[in-house]
Amino acid sequence: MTSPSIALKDERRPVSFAVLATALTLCIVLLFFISMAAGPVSVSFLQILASLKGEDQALVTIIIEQIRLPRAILAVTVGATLGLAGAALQGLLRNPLAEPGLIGVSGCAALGSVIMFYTGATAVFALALPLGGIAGALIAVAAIYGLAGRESSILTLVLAGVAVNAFAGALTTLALSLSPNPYAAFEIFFWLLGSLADRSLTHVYLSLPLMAIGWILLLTMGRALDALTLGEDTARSLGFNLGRVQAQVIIGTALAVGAAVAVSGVIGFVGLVVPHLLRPLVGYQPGRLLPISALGGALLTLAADIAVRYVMNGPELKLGVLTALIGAPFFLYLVLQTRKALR
Amino acid sequence: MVRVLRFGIIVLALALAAPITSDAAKPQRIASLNVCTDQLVIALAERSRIATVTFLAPNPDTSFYYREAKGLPINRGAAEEVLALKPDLIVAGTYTTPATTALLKKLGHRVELFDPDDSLKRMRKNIRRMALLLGESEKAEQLISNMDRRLAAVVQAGMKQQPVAVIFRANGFTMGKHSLINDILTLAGFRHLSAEMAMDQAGFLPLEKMIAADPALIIFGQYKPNHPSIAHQLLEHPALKSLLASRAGGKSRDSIIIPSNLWNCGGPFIAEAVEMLARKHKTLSRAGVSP
Repeated sequence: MTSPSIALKDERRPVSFAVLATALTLCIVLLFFISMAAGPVSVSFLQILASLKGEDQALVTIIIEQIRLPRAILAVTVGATLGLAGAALQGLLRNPLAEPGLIGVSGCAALGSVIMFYTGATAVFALALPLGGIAGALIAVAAIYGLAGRESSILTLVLAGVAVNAFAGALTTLALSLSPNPYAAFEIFFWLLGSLADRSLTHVYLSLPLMAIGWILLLTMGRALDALTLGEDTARSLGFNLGRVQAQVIIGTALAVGAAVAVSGVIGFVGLVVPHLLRPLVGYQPGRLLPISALGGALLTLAADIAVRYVMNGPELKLGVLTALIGAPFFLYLVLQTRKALR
Repeated sequence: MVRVLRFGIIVLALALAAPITSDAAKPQRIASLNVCTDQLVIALAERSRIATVTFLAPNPDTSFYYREAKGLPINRGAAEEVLALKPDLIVAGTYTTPATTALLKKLGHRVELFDPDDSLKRMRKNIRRMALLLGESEKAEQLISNMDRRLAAVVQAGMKQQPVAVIFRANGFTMGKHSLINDILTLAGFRHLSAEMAMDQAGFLPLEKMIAADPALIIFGQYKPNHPSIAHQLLEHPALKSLLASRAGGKSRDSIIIPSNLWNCGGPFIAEAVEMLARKHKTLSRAGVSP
């Protein structure tokens, strides 16, 4: 009924999984170093290597280790989360438009983090930030599941996402407006459009362990999602407990996306674009798509995060602006494709 | 001829009478629509003559005379609030409430606009102009000479070295060459980083660039961590702590908090900011900071 069945008709030969994974990983390593070299202060690759080896170079080391390194790490981890969560949600819901940003999971994660951060809860208990994000994400996935259901049409899911996003956005704006800190109201841009500027290693420590648990929960779902492409009954007859599969994908998504959004804000469309571009290369198998999408998401986010540093002077362009500029036309294209396929 | 003579006599009489009548002509219902004009009005006029000040005036973050402002009627810069008070003089900033001041002027009110204090020179000019409008020139001269005595004492204390200082606020906002803060830093014996980076009035200094420029003194504003923001979180970035702790180049680095109500607006109180900075200058010089 939906696009995976159309997708299976495609006869292109998949690229070898190992080759694809290696190529993506090499690109990530390359961009990681470029990301470390990119910024208002010029830093050479030699200085980066020396700093990472621990040879003291005084002030440059501070810039490399405490400003650029956390930024590059977060681009990889947040990007991987978004790519992976997009692929997992598309597999579970068997819906090509399922994406953490579009269906409101990221928006609700931002709301949860905003409440924790601006009420001062994170000042008392640092982990409140990612936990707030995770709680928000969990509520969103559950709400979407309740609103649209797992057998929903593509349209129902997207519309439910619009509603959840609008509600989360309004509450986030309200929460920020109520803050006595005059800067808070302007920070709506950070939360709704995302940024990795001036994040620190603290944000890495806060988010990475929780994201990693989410990744493990999602990456181990490969075979279940493969089975699901054959229909729920077949998957059940193959021995998969569908209730458990759903719960694991939902909790994994909430953990990973909630922790990611808590430190980066909402970076949209990565989870939509990446799985779609890579799906043909893994022979349309959701199981294989999971790790490949994670790598692709990391790569796209790293690239976008390097680009935002060069767009304008002063405060940087928000990362989500760039991913939306790429992702929104892509979304429209997908909508047109889906309509054609449904006809 | 007689008429001309009579006119001349009247003019002469008015001129002679002016100093005597000026007290009665002093504005008695002063409305201020800008936090910086608030400061000057509170410093110069008796409390009973102040009809309204801005909502920022009783706030210690933005206003030096926050105690004096408590209990005065406040406004948020809307024409309605001001009109209801029937003011005989309205003072406001050039840029802050343009729509309101234009409307009040159109309705026939006396509106006097003040340029922002972007230098010590402009600040003195603004104080004297406000004093003239309020009929308090004598008081103003007294305040200015008190301030000048304090400033002269700081300069006399002698400063051979000129360490680099930078003001670093939420989001990395900093002031440039044409700013009151630049003049204050110069007076206290510092070179001013963002001015040397050819920043004109104000702008954003990326954290990386600030660290690379390696100032001897980082000046923060006062910040209440119980109302957090990402903008303020930048001021707690571990990279800043590492910079301040670094002994690279055999240099020591330091930071200071100057409450923003001491120098966001111009007024006699800026002497306190200059003195705080001068004290810091002394300890830095003793610690052997190379310029």
